[in-house]
Amino acid sequence: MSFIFKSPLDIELRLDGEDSRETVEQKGLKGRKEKLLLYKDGETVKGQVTIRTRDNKRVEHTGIKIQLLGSIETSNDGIVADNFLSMAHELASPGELRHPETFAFEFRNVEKQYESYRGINIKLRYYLKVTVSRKSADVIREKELWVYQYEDPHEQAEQPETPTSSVKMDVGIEDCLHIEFEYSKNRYSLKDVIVGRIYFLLVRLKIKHMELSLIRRESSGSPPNQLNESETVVKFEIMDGAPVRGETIPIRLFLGGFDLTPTYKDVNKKFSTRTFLSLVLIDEDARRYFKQSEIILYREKNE
Amino acid sequence: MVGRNLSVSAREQQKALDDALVTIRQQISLMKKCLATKNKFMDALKHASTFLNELRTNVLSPKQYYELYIMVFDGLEVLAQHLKTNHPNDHLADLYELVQYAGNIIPRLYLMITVGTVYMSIPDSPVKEIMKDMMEMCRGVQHPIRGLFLRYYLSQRTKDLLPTEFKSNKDESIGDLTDSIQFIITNFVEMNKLWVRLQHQGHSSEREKRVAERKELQILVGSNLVRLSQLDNIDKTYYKEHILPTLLEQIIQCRDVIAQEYLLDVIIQVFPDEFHLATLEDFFNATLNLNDQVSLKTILMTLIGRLIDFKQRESDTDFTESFKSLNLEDIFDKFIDFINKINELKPDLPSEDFCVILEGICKLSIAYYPENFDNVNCIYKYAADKFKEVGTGESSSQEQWKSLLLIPMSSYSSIKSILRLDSSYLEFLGLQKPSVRKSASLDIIDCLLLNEVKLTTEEEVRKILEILKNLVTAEEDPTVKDLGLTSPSHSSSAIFGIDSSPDEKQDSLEVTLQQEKLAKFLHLIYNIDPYKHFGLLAESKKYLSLGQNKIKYTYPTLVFIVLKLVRKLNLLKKVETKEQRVQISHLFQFVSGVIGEMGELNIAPILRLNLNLVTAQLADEVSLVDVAYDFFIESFLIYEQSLVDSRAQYQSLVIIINKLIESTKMIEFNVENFNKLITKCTLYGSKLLKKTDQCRAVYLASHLWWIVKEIDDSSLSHISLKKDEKRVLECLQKALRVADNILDARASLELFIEILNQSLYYFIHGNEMVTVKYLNGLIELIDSNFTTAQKESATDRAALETTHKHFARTLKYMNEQRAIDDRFKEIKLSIE
Amino acid sequence: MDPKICAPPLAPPISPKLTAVWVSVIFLSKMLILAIGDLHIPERAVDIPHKFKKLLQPSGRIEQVLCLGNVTNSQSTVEFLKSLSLDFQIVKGEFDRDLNLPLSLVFTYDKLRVGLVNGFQIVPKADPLSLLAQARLMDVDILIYGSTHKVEAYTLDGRFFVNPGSATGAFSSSNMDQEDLDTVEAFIEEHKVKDTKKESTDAAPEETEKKDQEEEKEEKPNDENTLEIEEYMDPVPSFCLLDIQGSVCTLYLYTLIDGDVKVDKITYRKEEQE
Repeated sequence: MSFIFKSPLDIELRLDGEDSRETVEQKGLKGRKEKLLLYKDGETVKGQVTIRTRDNKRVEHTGIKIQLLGSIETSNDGIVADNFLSMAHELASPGELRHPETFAFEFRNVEKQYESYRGINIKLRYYLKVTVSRKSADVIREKELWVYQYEDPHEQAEQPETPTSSVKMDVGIEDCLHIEFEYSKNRYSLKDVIVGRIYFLLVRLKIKHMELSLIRRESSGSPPNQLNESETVVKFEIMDGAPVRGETIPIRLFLGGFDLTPTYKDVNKKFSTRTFLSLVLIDEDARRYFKQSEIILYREKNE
Repeated sequence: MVGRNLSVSAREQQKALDDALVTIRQQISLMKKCLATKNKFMDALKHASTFLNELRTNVLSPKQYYELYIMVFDGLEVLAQHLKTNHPNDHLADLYELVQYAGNIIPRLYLMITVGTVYMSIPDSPVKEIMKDMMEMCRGVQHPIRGLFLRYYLSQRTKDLLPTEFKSNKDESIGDLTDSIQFIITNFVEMNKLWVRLQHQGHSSEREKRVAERKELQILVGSNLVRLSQLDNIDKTYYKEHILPTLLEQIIQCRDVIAQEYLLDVIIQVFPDEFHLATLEDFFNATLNLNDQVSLKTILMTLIGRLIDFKQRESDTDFTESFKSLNLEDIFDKFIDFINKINELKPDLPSEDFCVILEGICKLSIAYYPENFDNVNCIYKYAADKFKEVGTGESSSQEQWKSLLLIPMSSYSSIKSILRLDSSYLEFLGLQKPSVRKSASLDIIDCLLLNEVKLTTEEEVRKILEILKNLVTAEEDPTVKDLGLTSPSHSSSAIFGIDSSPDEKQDSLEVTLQQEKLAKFLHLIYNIDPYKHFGLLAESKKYLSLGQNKIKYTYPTLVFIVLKLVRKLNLLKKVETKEQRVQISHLFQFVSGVIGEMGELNIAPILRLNLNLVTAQLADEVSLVDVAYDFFIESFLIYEQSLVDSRAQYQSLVIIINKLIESTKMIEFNVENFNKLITKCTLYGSKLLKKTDQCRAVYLASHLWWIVKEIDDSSLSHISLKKDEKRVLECLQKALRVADNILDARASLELFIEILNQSLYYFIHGNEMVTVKYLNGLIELIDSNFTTAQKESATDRAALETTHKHFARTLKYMNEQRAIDDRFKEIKLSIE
Repeated sequence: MDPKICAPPLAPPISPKLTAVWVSVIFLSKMLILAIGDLHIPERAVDIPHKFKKLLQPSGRIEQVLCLGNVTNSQSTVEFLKSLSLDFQIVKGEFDRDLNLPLSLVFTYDKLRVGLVNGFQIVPKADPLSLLAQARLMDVDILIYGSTHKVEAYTLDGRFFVNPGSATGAFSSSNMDQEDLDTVEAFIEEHKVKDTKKESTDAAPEETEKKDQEEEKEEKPNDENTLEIEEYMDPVPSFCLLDIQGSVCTLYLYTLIDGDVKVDKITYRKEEQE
């Protein structure tokens, strides 16, 4: 938007340790992959801003500032951004730019209470924004950061509403199918593996396949205008052919390799993302029978 | 993927196969390229995954699927080799996880097994865990064909990697032989389930097709049992306690006929015989719990066959060793217990099958306990009881019962062992239908004959004849009776007729063949001691006499065997003292009795006459000239009383003449008797009905007065035993008179020429009464008769021509003789 | 004149190996006439020797079977003989009971006439002069006869006389030949000698092998009452094949001696007459 006209200024935003810092690869606009620097909650964000004028022209400005913003963008009806974080530093007072100038900046121990997220209708972004204010049009340069929010599993375990013991479900269609669906727990770290089994108590369906899928459900807004979007992140065949009564089919699904999102509930009262484990049985006539149950995903601190 | 569709045509299948093979081939080669390039390993895996996807097909027959499998296997082998050489230990663990991200289960598990087995091959890898994990994950494939191949792949891949030793201090992750056994058995159980399940899939109209498919797949299931049997370090105790029970349990539980039959067969075939011997009861109990449609018989016969082979394969000492080490009591008892159970628990078992099983046990007992005849007696007792219970049954089972009867013949190393069985055998035999009994008896004889088994004691002879009694005894042919046929000779009578008196009925071909065989059997009775031998023959005659009319088939054989004994005794110089001569006369009395019995039944007169003549001949040979005389007289009586056919009379007379000529001892020692006989004989000749016969008989009888015996082959000397020139001439003259009286000129002439030839015999032999003058007269007579005959238009000229040629040949011969015998020169030959 | 002078000397024994080749050559190359008779099954013999049956059975080369009789009491044997050729001919022997069988038959092969008689009606039996008279009567060049159980072939006065003997080596009730009697005698003598020898060797056990043999023998009773002489008493089993081309007849005499089939070949050529 700001490049429609040729900008008179070139703003370079460099973060400290840009080459050594951990990055996260994200699909950006137009499906291009971009590498974003990874920051943790409470981590200082510091770097330099270098501003060069083009063609050695003098550029007047009414001040230069850098902001660290955290925003939730919803695209329910047009894009609405809502900043939950906004910090700013003045880099320069109004004046003139003639030579390239470099300004250091530092946001010390910034609290970043949410994880970055790019969903279907929702984006939760952290970004640095350099603004060179001018009378005519401001020159702006942004740089997105990626933020992970880690959870200590031990802490979570103590929370009573999220049991970690195994989950066992009796599922069935009367006189047609009766299975026991069992898996190790309902909370998984993103690097975890789902282990479980399906035990067939009654089979009168002519089953062809059985799959597990992981479905991410993103909901935004609040009732009655809530918007829900589901996306199948993982589709994983766990059985080929028709079992008979008494058969047990093992489940083992490594999560680490998939692009999963930790479970967020009511982030800033704006949105939630949840993940459902879905067991799907497909019969010979391609009818699908499924059972969904939510699993809680979290990001575990690396060692 | 389309559902298993009934309408997939063979053509479509072939197309699908070809396409899949092309894809696999391409992907394998792409995979190979990637493997050869750095940092392309993930791509290689993708190609592998792609070709593995072809194994997800639904449309191929098992055979076609196998083609895919083979190609895929080769591809995965390349991958495995690459992994083995290029990937460090820890990486393999990661890789094992990595390949599990594959979304489809078939490619995922093939890859997992490929990586997992490479991982297993590396020292200190957690072999047991990998084994367990792979096995567990394979459960995800429930499709019979795909599952069977997957598990077969698992089995093939792990083949040389499973722990093969028992370890006391177990390293949990490494595992030991126990784990390997568990692993294979689990795989077997799962594969069997899949295999059985295949039967119940798809449309019921395709049942046959599925049976065929299952047969094609059976070897995959069986391969697990083969693998088990290949594990060393398993002893029979372990097998009995830990392996067999699981296998049997699975086999019983699956309730599937094809599976039960096939798998039990495989078990029998692949595990060592010692194991089978050690687990007979377990095995038996299992067989009692099979699906009713399973052929118990087939399974047991396979087992029995194995055990018998085992016994026969092992050299005796080896066998005794290993057999002893089994520490078994009588396995026969186990079989008998088993039979009892079958009887009790499987009342519906066809008697035919029951019989086959008994047969097998019988063979087994003979192989294992050749000296224990009680076992075999027990079998026959059993058979008899069973037979009483079920009756003769269907005709198809009759063959089986018969086959059981013949077991001792085929199984014992000495065929005579059959004679050591007790009455159970006879009882069982006796229960059979006459046709079965006969047929079995004939087979027994065949077997004895083929092996030239000599029966040397009275007990043996008696026992065997007891068995063969049904052939001996005269039974009414039931069909003849039923149909009210009186003369079966019209149907299938013997090929040649007999000299029967008109009221003597002709036997069927079947009876003739049976009796022929029975007669052959008599040659097997033998004792090196001629008198003992004779005793045995006398014993067998007691049985044969039960045959009534049928003795005509068997008695002649007895006669000849006895006559041969006579000659043997003579050659052994046993007919020299008076005592010996008395002893040998018993033999002749026996023969006389035998022929007499036939006479009482008034059967086969010509045969009797001939038998009397040969006996006379032998009596003469051993210088019992009075005995010889009696037998000649006996034959004369038959001639007078029983021969009605003129042909028979003439031929018999010629035979008598020849026999008398050969009776040189009688001429030597009792010429009065001899003269009585030849006079009588000549008289018979002159009384024949037909003139031509009369004439010939009389001129042939002339030889009775002119008997010459060659002394030596090389010297030309001979002794004249009888030289009555006058009587010779009388005979010739008498013959001429008879010939002359014949109205048919040609017949008369023919006889004249024959008499001329006869006269030449005596002329050459130097009978001084047959002179040149006599011959000339004869030739003149013939010449003039020809002249007369040719004038009479009544005579058939062509026939006359033939006769004249005979005359011409005779004259020509005489002419030729002039070259070596001057006397011939004096004879006037009428040929120009 | 003794006909035996005219009898051709029997060919020297051919080695068993050669015999086998011989036999196969014969069977492969020509169509042959089989002369066989005096089987006397089952009265005097159990069957045609296995080795003969093997020779005869599969050939398919036998054009005609001439059977000299004494066979018809064995239906199985008759069937066997009939199976050898489509053309089966038989004359009646004294123990054949079917009076409808012919007593003699004559066949013409090329330039030769062959006669077939059992021989029981030749008086005296097998007497050469009587046979000659019979051949003249039948106007045959070759007379095949049987009834003596002695295989024989000779030429007499330009005619060929063939006796194929007994195919089963059946016991003959006629007196044995002096030659055969001598053989038996010699055998018995030999065993008497052995028995006496045995007593002497008992004391000198240096030849262990020999001793073993003796021991075996010891199980059998010793006196000559119990000698097995059957083998020496029985006639040699035999049959003949005739191959007739033009006026030449090649005769193959098959005999079974000590378990081996021996073949002898005799050629008869009819003298061409004006």
